Amino acid sequence: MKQHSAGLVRDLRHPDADQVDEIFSSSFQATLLEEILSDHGARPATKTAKRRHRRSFKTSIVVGAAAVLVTVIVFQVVPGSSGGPSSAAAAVLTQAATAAGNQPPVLLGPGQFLYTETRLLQSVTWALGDNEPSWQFDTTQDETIQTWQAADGSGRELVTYNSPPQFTTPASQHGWVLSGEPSIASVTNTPSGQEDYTFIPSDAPSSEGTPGQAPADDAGLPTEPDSLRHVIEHGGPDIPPSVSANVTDPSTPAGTFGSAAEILETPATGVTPALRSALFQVMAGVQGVELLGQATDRAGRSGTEIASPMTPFGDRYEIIVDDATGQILQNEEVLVDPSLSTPLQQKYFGNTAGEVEGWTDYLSAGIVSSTSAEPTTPPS
Amino acid sequence: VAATSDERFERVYGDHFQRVAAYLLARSDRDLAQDALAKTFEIAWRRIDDVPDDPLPWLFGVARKVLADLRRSQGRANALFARMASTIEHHHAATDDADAAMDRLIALDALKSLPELDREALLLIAWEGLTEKQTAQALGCSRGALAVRLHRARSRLKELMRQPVANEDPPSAPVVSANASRVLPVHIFKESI
Repeated sequence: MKQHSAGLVRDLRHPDADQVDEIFSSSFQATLLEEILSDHGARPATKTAKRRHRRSFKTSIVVGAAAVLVTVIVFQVVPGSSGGPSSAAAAVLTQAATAAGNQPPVLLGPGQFLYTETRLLQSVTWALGDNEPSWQFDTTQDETIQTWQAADGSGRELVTYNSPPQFTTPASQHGWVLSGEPSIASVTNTPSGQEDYTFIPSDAPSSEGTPGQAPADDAGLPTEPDSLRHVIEHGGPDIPPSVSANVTDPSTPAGTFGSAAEILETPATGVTPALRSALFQVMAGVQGVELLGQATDRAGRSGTEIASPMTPFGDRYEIIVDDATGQILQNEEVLVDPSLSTPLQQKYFGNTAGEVEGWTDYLSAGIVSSTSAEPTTPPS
Repeated sequence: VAATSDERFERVYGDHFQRVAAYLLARSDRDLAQDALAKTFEIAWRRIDDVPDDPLPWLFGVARKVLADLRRSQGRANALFARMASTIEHHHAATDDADAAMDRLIALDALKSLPELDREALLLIAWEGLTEKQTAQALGCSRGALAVRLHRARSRLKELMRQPVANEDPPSAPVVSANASRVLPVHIFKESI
């Protein structure tokens, strides 16, 4: 190989991208601007997810454009600091590292599917109506999502609704009224009121169906805790400067904690006992982790609850870990300091300390042989 | 004096039209790019109060989703790889030697094998020149999660590109046929040489 991979990737960019002026003339640019500014009605409906819960398939289908802003608000990480790690919390996480290190690896063979079942509070931001400015409101809904993912991206997603949508705040309900009280019911496609989607391989033509997405492959992640933390906070150790010239602001401790937990929670292949153990060790080393004590998740399972440090936006992660297996049973996002919330958060998502902004219960995971099968053994 | 919403939008539009158009043209044909461009800035205008001080990542995030929605509604395939193959065929074929041609094919195949968000993270940095912080904003994820995506993507890319080929002799035939919309899978290509 003569050329570095980063250079090759850059060179694959289509040359049209450098010829914008030739393709879109100045008159086109001016006309488009004029049309947009003169069009003060017909606001499109956008249904957006507030939280980036792990919805490997559906997220790419239903999330609208406006989701970008909200997810950025919630997940944007800026520098910060907090106190040293709680020794009690760190001890629990270290114990979890040992337990998780005894669980089998996740290997996905031909004809097999990675199955996951999660129950979560799905938040949806709506921007509707013909009025100006737009009326916006937020709803939440208790859902159970089952996914089957093959290595080629084919698979299935089944969404079951456990409750009707709820408005997050009185202001959100008011926004719904002002928007003309549109239907906020989920669009289902089965007689039993579920959403059931089937996916074809990710590289198949979309004319044959909806291409799915293969699960992430964690096999390349370092299993030495310091190296892994470095990857989480700064990216890979051998990234050429030409590709990554701006690694300037390391994650906050909350970001490191949340990212490590997210990797543990995310359906992925190539997950080894050593990686699981290393992820918990990274979390154990985060400054400001706090032991909350024994807790029970929404599915009635008990474990030990640990809190992350607070994010720059005043909330934190609170996870419940199964002491025996090291599995994360539940992850909540809890508002701790409303004064740090952004105005948008306060307006649409509430502003009460202790409020649970989102939660996910990880109910089951495993390898199965069809898109109708579920694991028969406890999750690992 | 604070700018009005229209004034702010005009500034955002003027400052970023080129970048958003380039983003879309790298991933779709002119017609689809035009539709997506109009839709992206229409959303930006309607949500101008929500557009961050650094609008570009937000705009790329919107454009990415708008493009995906338009593809679905129009029943069109993702043109990203066809555009890459076209780039190899029309813009590198004349100058590439056999090794370079193979390297590009392998790079393209490696990119195809990545999960969509991992690949997009890589392309936003390599093609659009975003910082990692901006890329995380565009994809709506934390910087930590982005770092993991990038690490996965780069590791996968390096791994695939280091795999030995069956024969080091250069291919004697064009690696992409004249009317091919998709490049040959690299494993087929390797077996054929």
